[in-house]
Amino acid sequence: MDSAIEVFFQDPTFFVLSAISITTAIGVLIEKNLVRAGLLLVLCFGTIAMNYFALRAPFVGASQILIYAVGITLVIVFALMLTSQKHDFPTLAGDEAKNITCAAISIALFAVLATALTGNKWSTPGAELLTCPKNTEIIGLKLLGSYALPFELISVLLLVALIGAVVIAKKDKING
Amino acid sequence: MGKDTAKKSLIVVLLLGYFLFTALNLHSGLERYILLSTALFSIGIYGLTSSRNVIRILMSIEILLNAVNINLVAFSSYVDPLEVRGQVFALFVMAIAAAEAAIALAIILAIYRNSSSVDIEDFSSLKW
Repeated sequence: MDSAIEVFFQDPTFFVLSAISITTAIGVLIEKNLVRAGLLLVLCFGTIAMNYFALRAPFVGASQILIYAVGITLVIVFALMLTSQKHDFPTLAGDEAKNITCAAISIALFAVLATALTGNKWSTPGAELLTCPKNTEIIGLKLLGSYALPFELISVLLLVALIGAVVIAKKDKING
Repeated sequence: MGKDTAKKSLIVVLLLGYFLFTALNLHSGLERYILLSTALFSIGIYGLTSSRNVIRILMSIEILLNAVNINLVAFSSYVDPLEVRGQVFALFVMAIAAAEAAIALAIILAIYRNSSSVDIEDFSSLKW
């Protein structure tokens, strides 16, 4: 049985990165200023991307930075700027009781899942991080090999979604 | 203002402490990553259920999708590094998330133009 400090030094990158990503994720939800929340979201996605690099999945990590940390956050910040609020908006649910209920439910969810995680012996060979030097090459071969059909479907879906977004956001009112 | 900030910092420190305490008692890397994924998922669920601003709900959904992605990539790296099924799935999830963010922006804009509000309580025009 290792002590907590030994466990920490087994994998210090994980602990530092996950502490930052959880702090920023909570910050996104409790920060009053929405633009600042958007910037915290960039930091959260960035640390998650670093976690992917630590998991030796460099291609997914790079896509995470490109798509999430830049692309999706940019879309959200656009949404923020286009719907600028004149009055100060309440951060969370107005009444305290609902807020506390939501917090209790999510903490209970975490507690149950964490107990299930720690209480069981996992049968997967998950003790060692396995390395594969040709990660990106394999992903490319898979995407155009066994996953060619979903890959093409995703491209059609993205096209349809973007055209749909343009049509929905066009400047005419729903009610005349 | 100062009291509010202190309360928020206390909440963050308590939750982070709970997470780190649980994580330091896990001895395999895969379990730690699943725990990180669980924590982010719970945070996302909290934001999804308690926020009133639609844009903050959108941010919570992105956090939820990221939690799932961490899970997929962790299992892929620890169990299945040669076939990388989990990583391919994570890439598909990212593509869907991009499409979803674009559509959500369009819907939010369309409703904002009509009702001048981003409060989820006002988004009830589909009700009878």
